Amino acid sequence: MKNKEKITLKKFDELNKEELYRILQMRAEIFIKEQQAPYLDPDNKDQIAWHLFIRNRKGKIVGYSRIFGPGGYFSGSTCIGRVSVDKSYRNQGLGYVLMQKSIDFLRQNYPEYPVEISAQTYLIKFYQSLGFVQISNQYLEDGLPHVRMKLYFNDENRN
Amino acid sequence: MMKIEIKNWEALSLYEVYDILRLRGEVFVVGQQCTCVDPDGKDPSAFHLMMHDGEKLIGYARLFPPGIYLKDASSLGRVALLKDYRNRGLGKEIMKQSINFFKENYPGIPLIISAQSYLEKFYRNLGFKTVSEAYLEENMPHVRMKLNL
Repeated sequence: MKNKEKITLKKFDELNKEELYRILQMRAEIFIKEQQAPYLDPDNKDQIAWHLFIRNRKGKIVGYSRIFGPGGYFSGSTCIGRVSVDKSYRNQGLGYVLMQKSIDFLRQNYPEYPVEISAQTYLIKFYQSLGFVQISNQYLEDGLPHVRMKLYFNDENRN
Repeated sequence: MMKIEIKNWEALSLYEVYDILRLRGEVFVVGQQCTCVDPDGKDPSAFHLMMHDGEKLIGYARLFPPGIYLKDASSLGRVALLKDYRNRGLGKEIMKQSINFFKENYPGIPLIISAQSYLEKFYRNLGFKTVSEAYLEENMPHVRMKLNL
């Protein structure tokens, strides 16, 4: 991945307006328009989340993930969500890099907590390749099939 | 008593930008089940009218000076009011304040809007005249309406 140096991780308060706007725009493009799901994407949880994003050479944000500390989204776990890559930048491994960086951040800061995600079912294999295991049956979230998955950093917190 | 203020993009805070996009999401994406990209990139060149009930953003309109959205006219859109605050004349108040803004800053230039058809009467009561046939925008029927200032 050539764009490694252009990965940024910020708290909500550290974002500038242009970054926030582009992040919400890209999430709308992908999760509302492309996936045809009219849900409330600005869910008022962004203010307590970390925002990880990748810029292209021109500076445009083309990859994103939202990261929560323990209890921020799921109780007893950290969480990664809204993982998104701009349509014209897919199939280049960007999603994998986003996830690796997000996991690295959580491993460094909250190694004692598992990472929990609500994964769209068509991506189960992708998340398995990152070490996640499925811990629920399929359910609908915003009209789309999901499963709950978990990643444990060590065997001790697997209970 | 609701507080109304109008700010350009530069004057908005990070939190105001978020609250605006959330309110628009609630009203247009969820409320009207529209799978559209509401943050269309035009917000940095607009003025933003915000109506607050205490700390809570409950009403909104996006105002475009002449030449931004339409070549020879001012324009406004994304007029939004939270569900719990409807049918109390607050939408009318938002529109009146918006019209005043254009009257003061861009007198003599017409204000043209793309109005959802079910609100045609609402805008007519504010002085707007229908100047087009009905057409579809984001899959919803609209008409173009004009107010001379």
